[in-house]
Amino acid sequence: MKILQRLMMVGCLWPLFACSVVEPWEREKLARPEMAFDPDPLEAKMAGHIYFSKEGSSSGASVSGGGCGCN
Amino acid sequence: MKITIFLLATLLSSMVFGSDVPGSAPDFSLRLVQSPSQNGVINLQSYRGKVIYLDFWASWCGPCKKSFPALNSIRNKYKSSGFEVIAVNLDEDIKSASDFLIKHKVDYPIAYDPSKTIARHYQLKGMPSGYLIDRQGMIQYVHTGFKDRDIPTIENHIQRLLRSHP
Repeated sequence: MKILQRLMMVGCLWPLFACSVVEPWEREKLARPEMAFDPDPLEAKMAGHIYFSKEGSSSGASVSGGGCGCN
Repeated sequence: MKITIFLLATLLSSMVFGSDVPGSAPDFSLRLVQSPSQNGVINLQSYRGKVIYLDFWASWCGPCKKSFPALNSIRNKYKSSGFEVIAVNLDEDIKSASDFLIKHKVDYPIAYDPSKTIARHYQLKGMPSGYLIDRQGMIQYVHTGFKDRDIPTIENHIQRLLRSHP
């Protein structure tokens, strides 16, 4: 049983060995615009502003408002 | 338990980055990206006695693009005092670099590091990376990334090094 546990532990940790450092010069594809979290930062900011304003919720992006989207 | 400790230790050791930047700038001999004869080579050692800003860049990197005109004007400002910029391109394909240089013309030499050996020697942390090398060939200042507001800092370091050993 102990052996099985150990094997499972090794099995769980093994994939972590695949972690490697991506060198700065290997980031060409990561630097492409389509790889960005928000392809259009301005549009994302506006959408976020409207969303949080309408929802009346507070977030890291905006504060809640009356629904007019003006604050 | 021992196995777990061993595994964790192995993992952690693989995450440890190399030591800090070496004191003396590793010498290199690299092909120039744009040379009329196609066999133009640049040696860092032949620039000993000058203050050098060694700039590692790639055509796909936004801040690198921004740094080009700024570095070119800094270079032309201090050239007569014994300053030079040497740029090392780290693109996968040298053609990307030549295409970039047609649009962004600069007066300083641009070398190409196809195997990224020199970049590895300098232990690059980001793009662009600038290494300010004094007249004795020692790295005195490392600048990672580039924003317009970094220009005065870089210039201050250049002025300091140009003053220290006339």
